[in-house]
Amino acid sequence: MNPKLKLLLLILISTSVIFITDLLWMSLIFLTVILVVLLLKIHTRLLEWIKPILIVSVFVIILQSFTHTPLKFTTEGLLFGVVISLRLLTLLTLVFAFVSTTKPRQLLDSFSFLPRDIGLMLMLSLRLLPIVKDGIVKIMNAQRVRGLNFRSPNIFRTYFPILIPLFSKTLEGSNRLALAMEARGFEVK
Amino acid sequence: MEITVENLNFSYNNKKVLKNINFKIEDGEFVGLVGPTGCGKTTLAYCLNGLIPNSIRGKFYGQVMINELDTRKHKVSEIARKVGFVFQDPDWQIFSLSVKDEIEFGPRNFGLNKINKRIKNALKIVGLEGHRNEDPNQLSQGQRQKLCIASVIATDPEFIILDEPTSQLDYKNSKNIHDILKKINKEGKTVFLIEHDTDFLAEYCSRILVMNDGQIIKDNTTKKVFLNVNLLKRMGIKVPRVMV
Repeated sequence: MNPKLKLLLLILISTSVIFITDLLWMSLIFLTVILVVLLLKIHTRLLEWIKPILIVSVFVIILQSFTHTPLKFTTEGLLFGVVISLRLLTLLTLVFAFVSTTKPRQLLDSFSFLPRDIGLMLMLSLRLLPIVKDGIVKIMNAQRVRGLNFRSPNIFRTYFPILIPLFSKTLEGSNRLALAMEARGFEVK
Repeated sequence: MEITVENLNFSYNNKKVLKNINFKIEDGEFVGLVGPTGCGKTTLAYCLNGLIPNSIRGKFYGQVMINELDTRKHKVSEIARKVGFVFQDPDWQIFSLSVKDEIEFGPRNFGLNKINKRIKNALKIVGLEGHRNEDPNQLSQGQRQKLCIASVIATDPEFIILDEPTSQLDYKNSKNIHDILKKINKEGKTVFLIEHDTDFLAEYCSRILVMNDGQIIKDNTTKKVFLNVNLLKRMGIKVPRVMV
C-alpha cells in the first residue's frame, strides 16, 4: 500500500478513535484492528510490544471504576475505563501495524510532503537510532567487563555509568554530523 | 587554487590550540600533515574549510584565504564549494538510505546540475559502481569511507581535506583509499591529508607538514622531512620504512 495513503489512514482512524466514547463502536474498531493484525501475521510481535500497555490498561480500568464517582465503584466508571483502555490499545496497535509494515525508506517517503528541513530532521532521528542503540550495547559491555552489576537495586549507580558516556558520545557525534553536513553545503534556511 | 594561512592563532576554552601558523598550499599539491595526537591537526583542518571560525566558536586571529576568499567573511556552504572535507568516522557522516542519496546530498545543496553524471563518476572513481542503490549501513567500513570520499568528489571541489580517513581501516583498505586519493590528485585536485601512517605519507605525498603543540615545526618535501629521523623520534612519529 502507498505509504502516504497508509499514513493518512493512520491519522484518520486515530483521530476518530480519540472522539468515540461509545463502548460498542470502540470495541468494533478494536476488533477490526486486531483482525487486520492477525491477517498481517504480526500478532506475536504485537503481544511482546503491547504487554506493558496491557498492565497500564488494567490499572486505568480499576482507577476509572473507583474515581468516576469518588471512592465508589460504579458500572459507568468501569465502562468508561474500558473505553479509554480500548482507545489506548487501538492507537498503539495501529501505530505498531503501520511501523511494522512500512520499511524505513517508505516511512521517510511518507514524510516527503513536509518541508525539506523537517523531513531531513525526522530522517536523521530515525537513521541515528541504530547507531545510538549500538552505542548503548558497547557502553553496557564496557561497564559490564569492569564489574558493573546491572541487578543492583541502586539504579543511579547502575545507570549513570551508561547514561553519561551515552549522552556525551551522542552529543559529540551529532555535532560531528552537523559539521559534516555543513561541510557539504547544507544550511538551515 | 591556492590556500594561504597567515599568522593563524586559535584559542578554545582559554586554551591556545593553534599558534602562529603560516603556510601556503599551491594548486595540485598532495600535502600530508602529521603530528602527535591532540596537537591541533583537526582544528587546523577545520580552519581551512571555514568551520572555524564560522561554526566552531573561539578566539580566531590571523587569516585563511582560499584564493581570494577570506574564510572569516564567507559562509561554510560557500567555502565548501571549493574545499571538500572527509571526516575520520563515516558513521557520523552518512545518514541517507541509499548510496545514491548520500552522494546526491552535496550537489543538491550547491544546486549543481548533471547530478546523475556526477554520482556515476564519483562511484567509478572510488570503485563502488555496483552499490548505487544499496543501503550504506550494509557496506563495509572501507566502503563506507569510500562513500564519504565519493560524496565529496561529486561536488567537484578544487581542494580536498581528509582527516585521518583510514584510521579505522586495515592495510588493504587503507592502501585502496590512498590510491584513490593519488588518482584524484593526478586529475588536478589539491589534496591535504592528515594521517598517522607515515609509510603512506612517504609513498604518496610530495610535501609534509609536521605539527606539534599547535605549531608547524617542519614544512618541507617528504624526503627531507622523513630523513630527519631525530625530529620524528622526538615527536613520537614513526619513521617510515622506506627511510629506515
